Amino acid sequence: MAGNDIALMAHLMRRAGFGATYDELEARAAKGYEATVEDLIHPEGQPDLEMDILERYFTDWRDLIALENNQAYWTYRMINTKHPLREKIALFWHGILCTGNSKCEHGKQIQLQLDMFRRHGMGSFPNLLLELSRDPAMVFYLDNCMSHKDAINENYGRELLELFSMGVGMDGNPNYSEDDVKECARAFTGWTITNAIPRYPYARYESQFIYNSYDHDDGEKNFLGESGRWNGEDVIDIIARQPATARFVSRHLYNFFVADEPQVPAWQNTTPNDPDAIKMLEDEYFRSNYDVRSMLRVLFNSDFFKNARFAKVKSPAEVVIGTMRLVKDFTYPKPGVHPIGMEIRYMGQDLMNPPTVEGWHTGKEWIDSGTLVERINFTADQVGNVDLPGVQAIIRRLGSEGATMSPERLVDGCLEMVGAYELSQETRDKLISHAQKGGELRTGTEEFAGSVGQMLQLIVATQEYQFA
Amino acid sequence: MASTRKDPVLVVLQLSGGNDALNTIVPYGDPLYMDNRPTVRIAEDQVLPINNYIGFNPTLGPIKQMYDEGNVAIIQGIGYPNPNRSHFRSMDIWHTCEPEKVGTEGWLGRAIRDIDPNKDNVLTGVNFGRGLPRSLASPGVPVASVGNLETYGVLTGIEGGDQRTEALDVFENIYSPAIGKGAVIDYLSQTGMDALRGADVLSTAPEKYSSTVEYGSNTVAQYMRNIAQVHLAELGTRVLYTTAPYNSFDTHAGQMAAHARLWTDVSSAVSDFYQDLKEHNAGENVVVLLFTEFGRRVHDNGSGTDHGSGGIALVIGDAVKGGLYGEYPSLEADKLLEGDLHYNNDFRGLYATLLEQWMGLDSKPITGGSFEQLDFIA
Amino acid sequence: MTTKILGPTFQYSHSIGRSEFSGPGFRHPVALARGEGDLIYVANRSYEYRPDGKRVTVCTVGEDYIGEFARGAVVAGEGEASAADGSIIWPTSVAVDKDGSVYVTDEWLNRVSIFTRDGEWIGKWGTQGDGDGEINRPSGIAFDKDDVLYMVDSLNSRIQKFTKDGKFLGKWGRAGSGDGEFNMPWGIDVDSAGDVYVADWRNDRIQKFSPDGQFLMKFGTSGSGDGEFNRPTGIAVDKDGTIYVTDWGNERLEVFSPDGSYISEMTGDGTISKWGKEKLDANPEMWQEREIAQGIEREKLFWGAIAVDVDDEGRIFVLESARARIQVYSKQAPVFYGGRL
Repeated sequence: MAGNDIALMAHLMRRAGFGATYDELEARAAKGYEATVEDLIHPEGQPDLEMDILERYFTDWRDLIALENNQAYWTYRMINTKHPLREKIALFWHGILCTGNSKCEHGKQIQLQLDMFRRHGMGSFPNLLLELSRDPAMVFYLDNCMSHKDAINENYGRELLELFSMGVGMDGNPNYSEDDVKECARAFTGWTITNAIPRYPYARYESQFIYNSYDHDDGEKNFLGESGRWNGEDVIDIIARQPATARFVSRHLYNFFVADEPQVPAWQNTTPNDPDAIKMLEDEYFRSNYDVRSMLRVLFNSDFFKNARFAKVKSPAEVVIGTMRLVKDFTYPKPGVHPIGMEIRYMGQDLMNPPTVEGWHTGKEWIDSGTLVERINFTADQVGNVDLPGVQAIIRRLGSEGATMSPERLVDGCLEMVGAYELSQETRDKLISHAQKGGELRTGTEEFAGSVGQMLQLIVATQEYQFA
Repeated sequence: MASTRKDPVLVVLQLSGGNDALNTIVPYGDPLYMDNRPTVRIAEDQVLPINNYIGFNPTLGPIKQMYDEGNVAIIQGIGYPNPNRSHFRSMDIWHTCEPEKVGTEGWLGRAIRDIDPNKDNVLTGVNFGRGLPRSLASPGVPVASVGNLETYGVLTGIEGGDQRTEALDVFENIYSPAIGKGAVIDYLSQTGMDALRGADVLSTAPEKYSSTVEYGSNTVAQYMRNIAQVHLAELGTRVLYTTAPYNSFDTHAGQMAAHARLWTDVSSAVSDFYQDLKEHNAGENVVVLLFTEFGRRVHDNGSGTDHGSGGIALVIGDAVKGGLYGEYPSLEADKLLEGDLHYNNDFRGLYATLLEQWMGLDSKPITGGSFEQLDFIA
Repeated sequence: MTTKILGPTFQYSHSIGRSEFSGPGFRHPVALARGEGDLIYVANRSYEYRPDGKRVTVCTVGEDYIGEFARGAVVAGEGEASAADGSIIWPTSVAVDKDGSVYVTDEWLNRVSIFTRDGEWIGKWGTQGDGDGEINRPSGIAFDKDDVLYMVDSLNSRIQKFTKDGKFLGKWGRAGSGDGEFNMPWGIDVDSAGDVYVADWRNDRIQKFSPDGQFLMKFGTSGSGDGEFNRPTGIAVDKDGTIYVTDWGNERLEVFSPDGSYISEMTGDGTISKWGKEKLDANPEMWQEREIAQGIEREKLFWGAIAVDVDDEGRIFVLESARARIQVYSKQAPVFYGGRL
């Protein structure tokens, strides 16, 4: 197997999933890159997690009432999913089409929204917006249930345009006016939800979307230059046709899957880092009739994607889930899932509870001195644990190369095993000179296992490892 | 180091989960208290009286003693308009001073930026516990979050002293600022070095420390001990923060036993902390704030109490003018706010007092407005 | 009209419980047992970040709160669960012996913990493994009239018999779907004749055995129709031999005659319990919220019907993990007692 194929597959799996063990990379690389892309974008029909077994051991996952139950569940799901891109897409949309538990206070309702992202997140973008506009967590989170035909609440109408579909502007110009916001909000009047029961004494059940035609403002509206008695569906259709929407979706896909872009508020006045790449995605958006899956196919098969290795700072979820998939822990139900999920929070990403409707700031903004220590220590603790099956597999595999191993090979071998990482020459030299203190290693010994564990710890502590 | 020992220091102990105000400072002289609390009630003969209307829960004995010495300000009826009974949201409001919209920046994060605008000291603010509370979060403001002071640092999981030392040498080597690796890598390098330095400096605190005070073994006591250690090490730390175990004050059920245990721990920890600083003659520039996100329901639920509003905060220290501030909210049915104690004291006024009168900072940009201050700082 | 002898009918009686991490209430309860007199023991699994909710709650059929014991393993550091004597992590079942002592299985600790009727810890046994007397994720347990303890040894796909202090007496079963084979079995009960019933969870069926493990009969297949199952969890047999099964995936209780033929099903009739009323009275706006809620009738229905027990007075107790509630039914035999036409 050519090292290049593995390195490329490692890149794809980090971005379109949460990383993979070396064995999985080999198997996928043998199948081929484009075939793997097709597998990833077509999760339908492949087996899902066995929820009956999970609910047997994690009794609370049937009702998933609180934030923490859901965080544990999603953590387990991301670690064990056979559909890594489907979970990644849910994470992607969750960071853009945000709802937060601090307001919703009903974890299950947000989990149902994530299920919706799992179902529709790779489909038609306007359909996704339609599902979102009917999603009870969103209707509540952005107050559309408080918007009435004679008392408009603009919150959802505004964020639908600003944060969920078009963005405030592009190429230095605004994408819509304040009047468009008002008209948009009018079109969504009557899109509301059922009244919920209190969480106590007997737990809740989920809310339902209701369209209340009596509370819908059915008057004429002028939205983005088009006049009619628009309802929410019409507004979404108009939004979907806008070049700004193509740009917005493309830039988000690029920022999440390819390379860190400037933060969203700057998009009106900053050009994309790679305008040609964005143009390709925009073209595919229109060509495919707004199909996210088609855009992803173009993206993953593009040269700009393949050349963008290590161009993104990992998010906390990517750090934690990627590590767990590498060391192969929590592959079956056992206690300890919740604390693993909490690590993601400690690193600055409280899943299902983003700080605001703008989601999390990404890229280097994930990192401060506190969160950097959290990510290095967590990852180092895991990869240094030579009892974990994934670490043992690495030791076995490197050990099978021969009776002895040179310090250089120890460094390079460990880098390959964690996903074909590359270090600066300087850093690699420093690791090699550290490894040289131990001299040539005899594989198959306990010392060898310890040396591999330690080298893995140093590798995950490097600046380079913070990138995906 | 920018600050000196006599610079004012603020210690914050967050009582997470919603402390029951009625059973902390107990209105034992009010027959309505008895009516509303058939089960979850402090018996009159147990109360440590402050006057003939209110008194301390008996488990606050050590705090009562400091109160009698004139060093405890009891801030009554504290809250904010349109109380929110969600833990998350209400705590966010306390953290960000934003009751209307969702804020992301913490009041103490802003305060730390004002204290140390050039980031001369990465330890100006230190949090004890995993993860940073939003009150301390502010873009570009480094705050160390210390899960365990004894082992705090980078690569703490590497076993064996020598091996860890070697690993840290490698780490320092790798993270030493190099030129031209790219902006993000440079930023990571700088951040890694900050973390390493902060950890090095912090690790000196337990080594330097010796005291005759024996703290309890519970989490609050241990973190208060850590706060004393860091304060006594004179690292220039001005804001120290810790949180009682997550949501532990959320006493929906079995409250009588749980609440007593919590306050026994908290009041001993605070009192031990105060004694510890006294022993080292280092207490006069320290003020401790105890707060919670909301009070609890006036009426009990047969075993505990549920989320309410209108709480109690305590401010403790040599520099504090002890006594009662604000009014104890009425328990009369028509004076309640949706069945809860009606706040009469905006928490941002408490913050403004601490920021202006104690820390010497301009409170308006931090609290987002002008709020009536109290005069509990001597 | 043909003459047909109808089976028993069932009358909803009342609900017990509310969701709480301590005191009167349950949190993700997974098992229950009727004790002496009017006592009920409920094992609560709660969840990882709230180990304080892991406990056995003791209450009465009339919903008086008696107390709680076997508190959840205290979290020492993040995720560090202590396995001290008397603590529980993943409780699965509870049973009461003739002396009134209470036995609690824990499938993470692979342990049976024993408590007095008042909750004082008096012992434990259990070793992980697959040899005779060793266990791997124990699920249901039940005593026969001589205090022989039958245990579902779920991941070993077998039933084991023990003395109540843990001495191995016998075993049967292996992995599979044939007669006498199991796929992750869960609940168990012993009838008055000493025969043993097992909820063969992932085979969606009930199997019946003689006390020495001879296969006697089976009933049920996968599905949601009458007499079918979607992951049966708890099982109980009353003194007349009527069989009750919580059909977990279908959110119902199914009732079978002693020969395994289907009689009827219940899907839940929950009403406000005494503890629930106290909760609502303390939070009056919750009453108001309930008045305007749409679909509140769903609250009556079972959610997470996970275990069932019966007593000699013909009462049936159905435990719901997600609602933290027991729904009590009473059995009415098809007997004419006289009186009016």
